[in-house]
Amino acid sequence: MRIIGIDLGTTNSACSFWKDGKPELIPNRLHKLLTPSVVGVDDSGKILVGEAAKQRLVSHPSCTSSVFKRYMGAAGYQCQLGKRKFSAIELSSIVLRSLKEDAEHHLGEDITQAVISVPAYFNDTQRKATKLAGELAGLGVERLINEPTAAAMVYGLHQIDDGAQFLILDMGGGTFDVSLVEYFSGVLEVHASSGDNFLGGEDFLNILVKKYLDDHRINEKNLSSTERQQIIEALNKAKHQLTFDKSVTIKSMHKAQDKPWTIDRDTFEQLAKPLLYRIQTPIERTLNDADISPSDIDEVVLVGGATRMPMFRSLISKMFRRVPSGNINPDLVVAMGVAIQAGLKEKNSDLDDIVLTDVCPYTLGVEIINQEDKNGKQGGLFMPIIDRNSIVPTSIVKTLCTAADNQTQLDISIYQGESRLVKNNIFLGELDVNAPKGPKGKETIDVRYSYDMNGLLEVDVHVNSSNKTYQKTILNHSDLLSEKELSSSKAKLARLKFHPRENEAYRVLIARAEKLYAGTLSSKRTYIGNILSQFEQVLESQILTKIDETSKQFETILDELEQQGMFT
Amino acid sequence: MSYWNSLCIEPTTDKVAIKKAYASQLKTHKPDEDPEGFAILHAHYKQALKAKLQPIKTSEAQTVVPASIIETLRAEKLKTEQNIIEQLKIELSKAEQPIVQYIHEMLSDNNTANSQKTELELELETSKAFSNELNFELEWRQLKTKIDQVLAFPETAMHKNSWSFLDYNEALFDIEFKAYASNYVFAQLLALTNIPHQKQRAIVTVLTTFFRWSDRKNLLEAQFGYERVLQLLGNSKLDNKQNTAKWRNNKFHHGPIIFSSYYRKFASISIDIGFIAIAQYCLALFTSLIGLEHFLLEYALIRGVLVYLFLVPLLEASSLQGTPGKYLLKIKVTNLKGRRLNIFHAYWRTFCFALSTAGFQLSMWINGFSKDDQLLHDRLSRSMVIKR
Repeated sequence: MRIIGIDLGTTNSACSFWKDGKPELIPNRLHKLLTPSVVGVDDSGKILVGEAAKQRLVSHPSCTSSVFKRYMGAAGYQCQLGKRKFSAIELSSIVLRSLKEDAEHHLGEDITQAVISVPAYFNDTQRKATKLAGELAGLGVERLINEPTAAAMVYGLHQIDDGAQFLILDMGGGTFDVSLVEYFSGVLEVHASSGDNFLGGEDFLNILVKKYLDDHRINEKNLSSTERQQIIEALNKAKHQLTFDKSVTIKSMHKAQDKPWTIDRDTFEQLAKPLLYRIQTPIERTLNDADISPSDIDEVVLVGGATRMPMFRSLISKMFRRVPSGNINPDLVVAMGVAIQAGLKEKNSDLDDIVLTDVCPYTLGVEIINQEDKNGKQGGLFMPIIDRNSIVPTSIVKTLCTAADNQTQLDISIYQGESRLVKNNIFLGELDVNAPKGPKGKETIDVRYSYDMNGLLEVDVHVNSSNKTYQKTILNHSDLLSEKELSSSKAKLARLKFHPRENEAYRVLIARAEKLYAGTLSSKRTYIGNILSQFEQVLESQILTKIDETSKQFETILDELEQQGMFT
Repeated sequence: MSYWNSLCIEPTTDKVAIKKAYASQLKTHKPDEDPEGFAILHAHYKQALKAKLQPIKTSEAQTVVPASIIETLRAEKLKTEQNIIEQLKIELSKAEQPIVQYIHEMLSDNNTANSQKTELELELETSKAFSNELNFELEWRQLKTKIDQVLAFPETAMHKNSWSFLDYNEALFDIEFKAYASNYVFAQLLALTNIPHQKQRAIVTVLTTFFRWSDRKNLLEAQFGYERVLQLLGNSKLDNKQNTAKWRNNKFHHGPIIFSSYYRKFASISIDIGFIAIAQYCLALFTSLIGLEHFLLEYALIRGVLVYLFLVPLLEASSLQGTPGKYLLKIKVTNLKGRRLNIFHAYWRTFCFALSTAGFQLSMWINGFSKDDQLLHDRLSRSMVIKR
């Protein structure tokens, strides 16, 4: 049974599998390894995924959605695409489905199983949501693997000496993860892990956008969504350019901007200082937890596109007094690692000697009564059950007792976090338990937390005197889908129409032309409009040779036009 | 079954050997195939690694009563914990003397600034391995002068803004340097006396977030001793008293707040009116039997309304949290925080209800313009009707 590996990212996704003793990436229908995590609906109501949808972000912002991974597991997030509404889970499942189709085409067989990567610091709800997205796309999720762990597998197997300790820093589009990993005799052991779920390249981009808007005294509310997307895209390009150049100048792209706007690297760094401070937190926590000093670490490895930023690299070299390494393409390394995990799951003989052990990156616990809290300001206390960085799978029991005489009901509220007070931690779910009447403190219950390899939590409560057992796989009642919603979601996705795979390349060309059309003015605009309608006519004629020929011409014209693009 | 047995090696202090043994055992106890076996193996492995800290006395010391696997595991866990505590005690007693000295040195260093080189300066001078252009010697001197300036007077030390120079200090990006600075500041704070407790707390909170002392607590305790860390950071650990579970208090609403729809409320009121009508009918039947016919049926409507207005608040303030009609339709009345109404609030709500329904059925009209289906009297009395 073939299992594929999927790296479902905030900005880009990739798909891979284990072949002949090494991970191999699967190209998508456009022969590219990265598929943008963007979903859109076109005018005929058909669904577009990837590059074609990404190009339409500027021209059709109301029918296109990106960075939805940030809302995975968020209660009540709905994205309006044309006439229909989609949850983040559904959007992710559309991307997964597209990747699955690419894999099926590439491998020539049906795919029903996958290993999907998630940020290490994703909580239970977010993991559950990712798993659901896989199931909605028709993929049984064999394993959820932490992104830095996946990257560590690639480095551990191919790059690092035996017995080495290395620190993986994984900053993608939306999340930042830190993992301290040791590799010895085929065992890849994660010692400690930490992260920030809302820190990534997107945040750095937002800083640039804010700066641009402030400099030109533009009120964000007055921007049309097309203008907004135009600005975002230009600044995203500028952000990438700042990796290579000291400063970048942007041509006028909004009516409030009368002269070219220049941003240099130093200003950007100055603005991004709060974010740099946030980068330090998880790194220091990981080192403190593992009780290790920077000099004990053999190598610092950078993973994820956002780690290309010079300011990130200089911060890391300042923190560790060394130059970090990252000699494998940071965008693809996670996908390759996921393929190794898929190979492990397939029980490939060439991976027999490899064992992976991971940790739970956050503390999981239960709410208990706060006796000191007289005026109700503090709220309940948090009692840790599974401490952070304990090895998984793990299963731990703690005993709780009743707080009042003849108390019959106990409320087990499950939280995740590091604060002493539950109000600062993340609520995961609750469980009602009935106990027999008795004097206070006499009735006890055993609460067992089981945390599995996928990072999913199961809670068992055993009432000692009545011998009753309650069980709950944490399902956030309000945040995730119920059975009924799940089936309606499935039906909704089944009704969606997709463009045929072969036409995808033409869709991208059209989307690119539409974007250029939206971004230019006057004579150029008419010209683009003309060639676009010509191309569409050729497409409708359905003469394959002619379409092929025209599309090539069309592409060269578009390339030229884009060359004259934003930067001066 | 000792942990050496489980790893299939002789007791050793060689970390590499332990790791190799663990790796080879792991092949038969993979975490996803044999989770229990793995958990035990991993625990044993950790113990074996820790055993390196102490000299191996006898082989008996390691063997534990053979019992069911889980019990051994628990027992050994306990044992290592005790070992660690003892170990810490020994280390602490050893460490105490130098620390005091160290602080003294630091303090004396204050007065004769720059005359003596600090440990870090010496360390950095000797280790030129880092070809980094950052000049830590200079940085540390500058930083230390600033820290000392702030700490010189209690007024500045306890003022939040005087510490702002720590933010975005380039040299403090370096983890080791920061750890060093953190320990220095911690030692200095410990040395400071005669500062109002309240103020000290406030500034400790600020510095704790900057140096992440709560994360480093173990390390600080190892260096400065449990008591002294406790004295400065306070006790955030849970005491080992019995942990009492939170229990459901019916005065609070649990779960998401979903407003009841207008029709459901209308239906619930209809049911209530039905109940009152039945009660009236029964009353009439009963009184007619004892011959008081003329007294009863004439004012039935007025009586019904009065009974309704009197009874409803009582029911709403009770644990029923609503009239029988509301109870049957699974909705309840709460205040805006989702708590049960108290009796006065409930009467106020009913008064508002009477007021809003008396004037042209205003409540019903307003409903046409509201999104959340809350009626006028709910708004007036700051209460809401939600799903149970």
